[in-house]
Amino acid sequence: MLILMALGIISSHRRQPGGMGPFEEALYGVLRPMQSALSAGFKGARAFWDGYLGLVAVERENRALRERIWELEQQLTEYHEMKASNERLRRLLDFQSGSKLRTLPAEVIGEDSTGWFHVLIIDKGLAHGVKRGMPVVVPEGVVGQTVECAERSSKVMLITDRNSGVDVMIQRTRARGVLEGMGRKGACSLKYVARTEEVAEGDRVITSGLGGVYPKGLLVGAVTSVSKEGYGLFQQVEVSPQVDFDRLEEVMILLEEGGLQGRNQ
Amino acid sequence: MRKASGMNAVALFCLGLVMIALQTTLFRALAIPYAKAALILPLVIYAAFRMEAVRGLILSFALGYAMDVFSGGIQGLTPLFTVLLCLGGHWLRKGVFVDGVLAQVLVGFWFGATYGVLWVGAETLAEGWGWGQWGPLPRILLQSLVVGLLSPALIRIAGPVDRLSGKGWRRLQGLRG
Repeated sequence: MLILMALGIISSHRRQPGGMGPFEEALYGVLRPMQSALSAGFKGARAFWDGYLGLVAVERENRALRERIWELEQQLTEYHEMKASNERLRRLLDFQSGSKLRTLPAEVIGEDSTGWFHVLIIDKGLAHGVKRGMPVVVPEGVVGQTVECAERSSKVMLITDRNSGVDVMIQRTRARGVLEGMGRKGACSLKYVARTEEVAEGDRVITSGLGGVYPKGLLVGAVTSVSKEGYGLFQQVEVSPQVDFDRLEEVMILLEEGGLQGRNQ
Repeated sequence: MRKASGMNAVALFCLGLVMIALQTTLFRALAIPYAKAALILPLVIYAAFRMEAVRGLILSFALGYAMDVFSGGIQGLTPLFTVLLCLGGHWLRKGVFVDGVLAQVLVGFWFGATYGVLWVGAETLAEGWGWGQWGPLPRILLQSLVVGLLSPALIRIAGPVDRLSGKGWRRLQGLRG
């Protein structure tokens, strides 16, 4: 009977992914304080280890420099984006920097329980206005999107997860494609880029705004390899995401769901 | 095998929730996501080898389902696997004793490996994962090793939780009566 129940759950989940019942809600409610406390404890222990037992000054300087690099990279992305847009005389472009969007900061309190998926658990949920399918970002770039929301916590699927797909484009050439996760950290596959399009290593990849989830112009990563086989319509492009997913502690949820889509049309 | 009240299973389920909370935070903090083992498996071993069949199976199902809630995969797969593992353990316990540390390590490793193979196999069928594409076998081995090494300690913790919760519940019933 239990096996049949399990099969029933599998069947209903495949038909209606993302749904959350009262049992799941209750579990999230029970585990959230535990996860928050453990996460804070481990974070504290790690900070102690990194900060006090290591070289305190170097660590601080390193963090400040890293933050500065992220800031400058974001500025550079915006600069490139504006320049390219101006060159094409697109007067109606109203690209805004991520900071101008309505955002909600959230703390990462856990991650996927199995180890086979790239999913994070954050401490904001329905009670804070979070809904399924909202983009999650950090200053360095795109993190992923919310896939399930409980009252006070949510599940975020990272762009590196095998089930993730993001409509993106190469910033330099405007070649479009779909960025899919490969199930491993630090690499995504850029699919459906026509072999006639010009793509080079080091090209910056940004969101196209056409997928219905992410606003246009958010930095996703950089092209690390390009290969064209002797046949086929598309080229194989590998992209390294800009975000260090192992080090994520705080993220931002972009709350303007419909507005983003509307703005980019 | 001990005669148990339903409270034993509830207490062990709560212990399982603590394991899930640990699982979703500890490995991330240690920056070793590939070693993220299913810490509920030693409790499934306990349920299979030390509990009555029905209670053990229900506990395994509940633990699997709770773990699924915090995973990014297809809901329902983990309870299916934990129930199958518990059934397998039940069948094995006629001839295998898990009293010694070495036996617990070996059974933990076996449960971990079977669980990993079932997971990746099912996702391969359902979502088209590839066995060769991202090398899940080394990860399965590493995770199984972690489950094996942690099994003796976790089974040892589960024992007193099982006994004390049953004893406490019976005492409470006695006070009421």
